[in-house]
Amino acid sequence: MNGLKLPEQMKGNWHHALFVTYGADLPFFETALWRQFQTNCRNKIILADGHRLLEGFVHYAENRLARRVNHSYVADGIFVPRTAHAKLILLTSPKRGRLLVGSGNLGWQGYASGGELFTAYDYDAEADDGTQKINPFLDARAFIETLIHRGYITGAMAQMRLRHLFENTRWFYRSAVGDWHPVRHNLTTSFLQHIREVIGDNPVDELWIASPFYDKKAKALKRLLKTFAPKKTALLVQPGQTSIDPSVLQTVLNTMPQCEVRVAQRRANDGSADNTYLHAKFYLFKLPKKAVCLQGSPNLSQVAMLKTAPEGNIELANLLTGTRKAFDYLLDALIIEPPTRHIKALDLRFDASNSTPSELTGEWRLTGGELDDDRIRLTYSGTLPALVDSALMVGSFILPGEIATANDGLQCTLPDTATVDFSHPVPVRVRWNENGETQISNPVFICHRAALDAALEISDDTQILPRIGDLEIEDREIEQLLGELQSSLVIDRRSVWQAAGHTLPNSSSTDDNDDTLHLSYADIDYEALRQHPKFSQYRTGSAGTGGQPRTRLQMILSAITNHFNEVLQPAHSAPAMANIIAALDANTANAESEEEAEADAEARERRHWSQNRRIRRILQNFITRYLRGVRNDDFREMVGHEVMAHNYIIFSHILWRLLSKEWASHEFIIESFLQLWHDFWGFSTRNGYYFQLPLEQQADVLGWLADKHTPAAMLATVYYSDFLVRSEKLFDLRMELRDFWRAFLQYTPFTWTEKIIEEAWRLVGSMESYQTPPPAAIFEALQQLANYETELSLLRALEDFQHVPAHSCHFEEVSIFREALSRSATEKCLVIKTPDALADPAAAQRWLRHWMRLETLDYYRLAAPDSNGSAITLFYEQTTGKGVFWARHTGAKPADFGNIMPLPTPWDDALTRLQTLVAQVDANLQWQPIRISENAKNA
Amino acid sequence: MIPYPQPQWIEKMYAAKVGRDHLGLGSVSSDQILPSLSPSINVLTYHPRYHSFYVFLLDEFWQRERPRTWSAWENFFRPREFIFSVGAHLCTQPEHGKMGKIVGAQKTSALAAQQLDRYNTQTDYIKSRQGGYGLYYRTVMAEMGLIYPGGKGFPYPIDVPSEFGKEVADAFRRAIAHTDYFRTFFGKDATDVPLDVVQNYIKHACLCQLQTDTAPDRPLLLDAFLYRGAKAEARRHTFRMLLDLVEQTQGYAIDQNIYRQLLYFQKAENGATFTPRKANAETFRRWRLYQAREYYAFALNGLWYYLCDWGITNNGDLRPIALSELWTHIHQVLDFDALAHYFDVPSPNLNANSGVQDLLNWLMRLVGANDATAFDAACTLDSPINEYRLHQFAYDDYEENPALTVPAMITMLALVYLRFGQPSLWQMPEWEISKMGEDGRLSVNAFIRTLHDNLATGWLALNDFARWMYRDYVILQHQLVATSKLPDNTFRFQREGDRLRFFNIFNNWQFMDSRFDALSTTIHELGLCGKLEHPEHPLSTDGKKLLNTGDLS
Repeated sequence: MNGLKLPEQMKGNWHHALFVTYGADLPFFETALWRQFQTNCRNKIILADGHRLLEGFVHYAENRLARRVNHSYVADGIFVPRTAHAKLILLTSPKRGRLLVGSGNLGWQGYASGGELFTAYDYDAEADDGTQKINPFLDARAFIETLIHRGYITGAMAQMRLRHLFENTRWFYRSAVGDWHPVRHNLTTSFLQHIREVIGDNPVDELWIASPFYDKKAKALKRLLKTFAPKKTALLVQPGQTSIDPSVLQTVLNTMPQCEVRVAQRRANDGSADNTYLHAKFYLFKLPKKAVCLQGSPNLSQVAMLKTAPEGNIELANLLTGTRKAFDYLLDALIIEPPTRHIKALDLRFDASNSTPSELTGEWRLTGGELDDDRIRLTYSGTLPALVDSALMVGSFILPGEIATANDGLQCTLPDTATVDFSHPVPVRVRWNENGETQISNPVFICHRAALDAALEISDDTQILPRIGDLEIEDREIEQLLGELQSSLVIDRRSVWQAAGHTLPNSSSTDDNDDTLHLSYADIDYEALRQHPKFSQYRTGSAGTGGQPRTRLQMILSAITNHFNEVLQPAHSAPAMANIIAALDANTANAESEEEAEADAEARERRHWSQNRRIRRILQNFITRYLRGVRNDDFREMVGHEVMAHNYIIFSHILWRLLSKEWASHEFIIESFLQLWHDFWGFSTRNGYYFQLPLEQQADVLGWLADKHTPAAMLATVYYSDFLVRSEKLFDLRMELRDFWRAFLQYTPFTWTEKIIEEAWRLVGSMESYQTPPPAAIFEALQQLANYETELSLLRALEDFQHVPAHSCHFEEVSIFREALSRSATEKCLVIKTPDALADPAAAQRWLRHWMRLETLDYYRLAAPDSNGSAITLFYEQTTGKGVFWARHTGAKPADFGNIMPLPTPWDDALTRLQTLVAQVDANLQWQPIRISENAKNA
Repeated sequence: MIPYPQPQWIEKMYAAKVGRDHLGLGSVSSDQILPSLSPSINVLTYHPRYHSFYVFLLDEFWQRERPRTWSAWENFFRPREFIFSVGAHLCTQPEHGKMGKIVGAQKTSALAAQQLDRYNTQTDYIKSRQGGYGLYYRTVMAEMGLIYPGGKGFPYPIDVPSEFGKEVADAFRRAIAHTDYFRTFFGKDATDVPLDVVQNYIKHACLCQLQTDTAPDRPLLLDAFLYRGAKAEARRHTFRMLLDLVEQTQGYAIDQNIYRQLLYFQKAENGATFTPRKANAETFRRWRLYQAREYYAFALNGLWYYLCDWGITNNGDLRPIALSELWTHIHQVLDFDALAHYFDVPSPNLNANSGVQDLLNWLMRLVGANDATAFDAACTLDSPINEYRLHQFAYDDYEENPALTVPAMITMLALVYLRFGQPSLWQMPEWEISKMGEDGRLSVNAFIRTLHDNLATGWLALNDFARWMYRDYVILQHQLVATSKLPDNTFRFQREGDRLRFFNIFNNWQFMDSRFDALSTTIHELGLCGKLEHPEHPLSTDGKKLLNTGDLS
């Protein structure tokens, strides 16, 4: 079984994250874990044992390693007489929840060492079919609320954030189902009692105990053995690590022969033993027909196992029942040696520092505080000394002004002249005078209410959605952006289904197959649907509505507009060279040796490759989903032309920007463009979405698209796609692109203008800025694309034009004397094997004119062999404008003919119009390549 | 996720990494000091002609109709760098000699040695997709204005030659335009290049050929190295100082170790000496302060290295060790008599309870300096105890005398203080080198001034001094640095309350690279002097001119 990658559990669209822990390594949280959270997760709360947290604050006050504490997240203490030893991670969103209860504290050892156990529970509010999956979450909520109720969590901000979590996770208020309650605490019932309730009078065949700590006299162990009288007990220990008095253990072994001690080590992936410290705690009871496993925070000590809080610690565990072998895999993950009686050799000892609970002393100390506007409130425990000459110390500054007592706490107001910088976490202490000596309290990092409120309010979409403009986002952000787009837009029937308040069928949540969504009209409340914000935002369009906040659609459209505006400005801006170098340095400059440099590069590339593969898959799914929506008649009709047009703008833009990225293959993007154009426009058949709209809606659509520079973007896209398919030798795709381009030229509803041509040129320049082709060169390439043929396509096209069977024609090479060149030359000859194809000069010239339309040569030669092997021949010298037709089999002499013009193509007129405009733009611009700015060079 | 809840062992993540620079001291040298002294020449950018070659490839790439993507660039780049790399191992030109740091050498040296009939350009010769360009040269080429970087956040999707870069590319092209390789094979990504074609190509293209008078790109690269980029002046000054050193050390082979000695003591164990010309005096002093920081960092890293070793030896990886135990141990090992015995000098009767001033006095007595101002001149390479000898102790005898590390490194810190603890030195412009690292990386300046203040205000016991160093300069600093590297786990110990938990992972303890090899190769291949690794390394005409006038324009 693969291990649980605990830090990666934080990934996902969580809105709230609660950590209950004994010790809290805040730098670990702020670095290793922080990067796992998506921006949606704004409510992060850490509740640690109060005494340990304050100890940590002492160190962080010295080393400043905690750089976000109580500014970006809340860290508060659970203050109890003994120890708050429970470990829990609760992640929630309005729709889902994940709960992890285990043995690891918030830190590297607890979350990433391999030596801890956690049990994970998942809940999906939308898929809740009345099972008991909700119960662990409700029990976790009850546990937290009891802590608050008993006054163990006193911090106002922590309480407020916890309320925020529960109140904004509405499913927490559903009812429990059945009697399955695997998550247990010892606030009211000891764990010994919990176990007894489950095991009852059943005999215990085996008891496996993994506990890194025992109480000094092993009373809890003795009590456990006495209570359940297992036939065999195995104590799993780690030499030099397990905290137990060896002499006490020896006594236990001597008096209880059924008890044995066995050395256990974690089994590495290769099967060998590794030296991972096993901090996990579990108690596996094997009964004749079932097994019961208690796993979580409690060690085998009196305060953890036998007592309830407040006399005991606060502990949390999973009490699970299964088949007799259901939990054997826990043991299989260990290498367990045979029983040993040589206790001395195990280097065991009782570590008093770890097992002695922190006693509540009468010593006065600060426990927390809050900065609210200009007022600082501090909480404390113990007996308040007489604060003579007291002052507040913020970092190394001493604030003038008296500290007053108020509501079981201390309070002071920041004077107007105070210049203390609270923009980052700073330790706050109280200084006072006692018997002529200056006393200084312990430091606390107080909650900065404004910063915390801001952190909670930060809108994720204000961060990520506007970046759709240039798509200049990190690889890891693309997934988030796509997620935002999916939740912001109506892109297919799935979106409609969800907006209508339906739960997705299970199958569709994994395979993304839209066809599995059997969208029934009868199920849909149209009125409600139209009022849904997702839909109504399309009607608002990009204009905004007075003082109303911008909709997500407006943000997206405005980002696209801004991007166009930046690109269409004649001057490019560029980052200063110093910043450029700094960015490059991060990747290259630090290695000391070639091996190190290559190893670093390899690791970077491996990460990049794996990330890219994932991104490709996600992107492909996303784009495919959208395209499916575009061609779906139900969807089109339901969402209407506003949604369709705006989606078209957004997705065209995304695809265009993706052409400059390496997140998806060019082939896939160009194919997607062609698909999109086919479904939205359908120029060749004029049956695409656009052409099916009533005229007034067509006009709306054209207006919206023109507003977002769509005509220019389409020209640029066709040009740049052609450049790519040529470069990558994607000839079949080029043919499809050509067909689209021909149809677009013929049936475009847009009116070409100089402005559009110039915008298209600038858009191309944003992609091809090294040697930006002048507008004329872009036109030439587009003209070539329109006329592009391969030998085979040319033959098939000719056959089609002439209505002869396919494969009637082929080319041969012939050696002939060309008068125009006054020498022999090898030329290609179009051989037509259809009777009467060149029956007379007029028919032959039609063939010639068709061929000339498809291919520009200086010499054309056609031959149609008859059944006797002689041929009707036609040749034409383009340079001289003279040709000869010779039906040899008729005995007629060769007939000369004069200048022949190619047949016009249906797209000629459009090309001619474009050419005229391009020439004008070229002249207006006095063409200059787009270059990096001089500023950038000199910076 | 398993279908029904069951306990799961957590996965081991963020595996401990060997890492380096665990106190973050080396990064001050590599990221701040050395870039100020030798900008755009870093440890791994040895060969200036790579600048021509890479910008030439980039220029050729852009001249072709290819997608402007990194993968297209890599597909173009790799076959051509491969042939260049094979060729550089086949070069038989008289200038070539023994040449290191050819990109891709790990594979191509063996292939070249086989003298294959043909070399397939699709050979996978280096793991990094962008070869030596992406690994080493791209940044410095951007700094010197040869390329405009491209990619995310830049106007171009991939890098682009600058206008000057195009000139350099043209010049390189002229050097090889007539070769069969360029005319027939260069245009193809996948092809087999005959051995003789490679050999002929490399005759003109090789890294070693830049130094010849006929290399069309040499004047441009001299221009780039001497005058291009934001900090060209500093680079030029360093070149000039090196040429000064080159001139004065004829007859002596110079390597990095000798270079460090010449910088610090103006004398080396091989007999070479160096007295910089007046024009190079300030540059020399800057380099000397760099070397002072190297000794200072070496001492602190030594204290850290010993702490890690001690922690593991005492099973600190099984059970955390109380700091009080460490302090007791430090008190015990601060035995300067043992150190004196090791260096064969009379015992000073100094221990943990002695004062820091007592240690300073002893060191002054040892070299016959009457006061601190005379110490630097008196404490030479030949003195019985100096930084060099203490450094050698670490290499030669750590395993035999690990506990001697603490007094030895405390002594090294005291030596650095004695040399540079004169306030008059702190006013000199070059003192800015010693201030580097003040943003949380323990500058020499802050150390010296704080110690100076402490000594001025009262008596400071060696025990307290050592504790101070360990607490603020070693333990806290390691926590800061390792935390900043998370999720890469480079912790060697973590503080758990008032205890330290240790992690048993390989450590090393040595100087960071001074860039001497890269610098000396660069001035040689730019045609300014001979190879410094040879005893005879004469200055060229250009080299003499640059030394004498400071200018080649």
